[in-house]
Amino acid sequence: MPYGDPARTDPTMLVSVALPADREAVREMAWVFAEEFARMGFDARRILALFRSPFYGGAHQAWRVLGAAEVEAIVAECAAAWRRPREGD
Amino acid sequence: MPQVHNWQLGRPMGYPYEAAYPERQFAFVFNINRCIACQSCTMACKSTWTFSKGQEHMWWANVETKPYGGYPMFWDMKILELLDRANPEGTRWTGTTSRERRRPYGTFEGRTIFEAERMLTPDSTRVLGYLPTDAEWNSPNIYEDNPVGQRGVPGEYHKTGEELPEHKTWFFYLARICNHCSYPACLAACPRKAIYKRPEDGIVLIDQQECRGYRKCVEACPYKKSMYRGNTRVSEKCIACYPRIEGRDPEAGGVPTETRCMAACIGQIRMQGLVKLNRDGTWAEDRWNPIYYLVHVAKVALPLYPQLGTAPNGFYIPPRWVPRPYLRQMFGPGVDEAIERYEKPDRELTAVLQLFRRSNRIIYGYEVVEGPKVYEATLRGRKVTLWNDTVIAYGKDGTELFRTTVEEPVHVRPAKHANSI
Repeated sequence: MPYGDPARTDPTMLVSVALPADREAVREMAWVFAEEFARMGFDARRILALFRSPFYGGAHQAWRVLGAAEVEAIVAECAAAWRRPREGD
Repeated sequence: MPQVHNWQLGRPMGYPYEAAYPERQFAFVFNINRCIACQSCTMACKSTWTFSKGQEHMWWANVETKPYGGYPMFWDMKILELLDRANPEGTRWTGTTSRERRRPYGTFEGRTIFEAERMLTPDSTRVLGYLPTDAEWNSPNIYEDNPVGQRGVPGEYHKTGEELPEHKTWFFYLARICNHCSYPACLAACPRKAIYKRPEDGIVLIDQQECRGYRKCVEACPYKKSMYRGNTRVSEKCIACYPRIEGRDPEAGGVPTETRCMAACIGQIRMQGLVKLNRDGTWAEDRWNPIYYLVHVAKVALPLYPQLGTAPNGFYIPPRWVPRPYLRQMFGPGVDEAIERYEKPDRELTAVLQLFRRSNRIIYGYEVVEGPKVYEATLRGRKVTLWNDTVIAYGKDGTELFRTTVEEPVHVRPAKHANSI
């Protein structure tokens, strides 16, 4: 992101491009992040750490919008559905 | 103008040259759902091919944050706007998606960048396009989600970086290289015929001896993957790492090997191969080629902006969380089916997704050996059944490249050795 809003007189800037976005899009994003990382072998603890970290912008945004309880439920369900054997299993 | 059959549009299309197709075609599949924009591909390419003076602005491979970013800036919005103006009555897709390889996405009703005669000036222009400004080339990831420091404090990250302005809605990362199109706009536009498509693998190259730097290819390529080099006064573009494809690269050891950007992908989102073509340019039946399977059988991988008409050979598994109207504009009408299949992968798709980046050798065929059922669970109300199948990859001469299972054991490196090799 830039420091400030783009200058309106900047000829290289396009402005006013509408994007469809709502709470449902954020929820879908949270489901996908959780499922993709679960498929790759992350357990619930590691996936939740990713959502909690403010430096993972998209995941953390979902955490803030949806709340901890909903994200924890999403992660738990994905981790349970895509569990992987670990050393010692 | 000669007519060619564009299978991605499901119809004949006007193109400045008669149809001619290679024996095999360089093609690739990127799984956007897994891209984290680490830019390993970008730097692998940069450090191999475009590190010299005069190439500072060149990123043959790049990753941009959609919908905010673009390299060059706003490339897709600008070409889509031109296409809109060329189609004042609008464009649409008719028919339905199907298994028919000559029109798998239905039929595109509208003018492509080759058919927009009323928009072409001067008369010698063959392709609808525009020439990006220097400013548009110079800042590949500006206004995206890259971290920035505090204003007036160079060389330091902001101590509370997460509080900086950020995008408040969805986004995804779009990794791009030259699509080595079946109907290249760069080739169509070149007045010197300096651009050619190799008959053995369909890789599109600019003959550096013939090019005079008119920049018609830069103007015509809708994906903006032809770039002008000021100090040599000729244009350059992605060469698909052809020494690796040919197996002549020292690392290849005589075996067809995937490009640098593919090999460097730590997110394991990329797979590249060579697909067989029919005489009409459609893909020949090659059921056990993984690229053919992902595009024509599982139908989870879709071309980027097929409506432009170049028949790009880069295919993307679309990001599942992005609003569908945006995705349909970007990947065409196959999006809904692709996401449905990817969300609920069947046994074979689950196994084929395991082939990504297990080897740098080009995979020509695969085989799935059924394994035991590992478990069943429920995810969002649907049943998930996982079978621990084994997928075996074969190379050009049919020799086994590797085999891997769906259920791979996870090894977590202990903390004290976290960064050791």
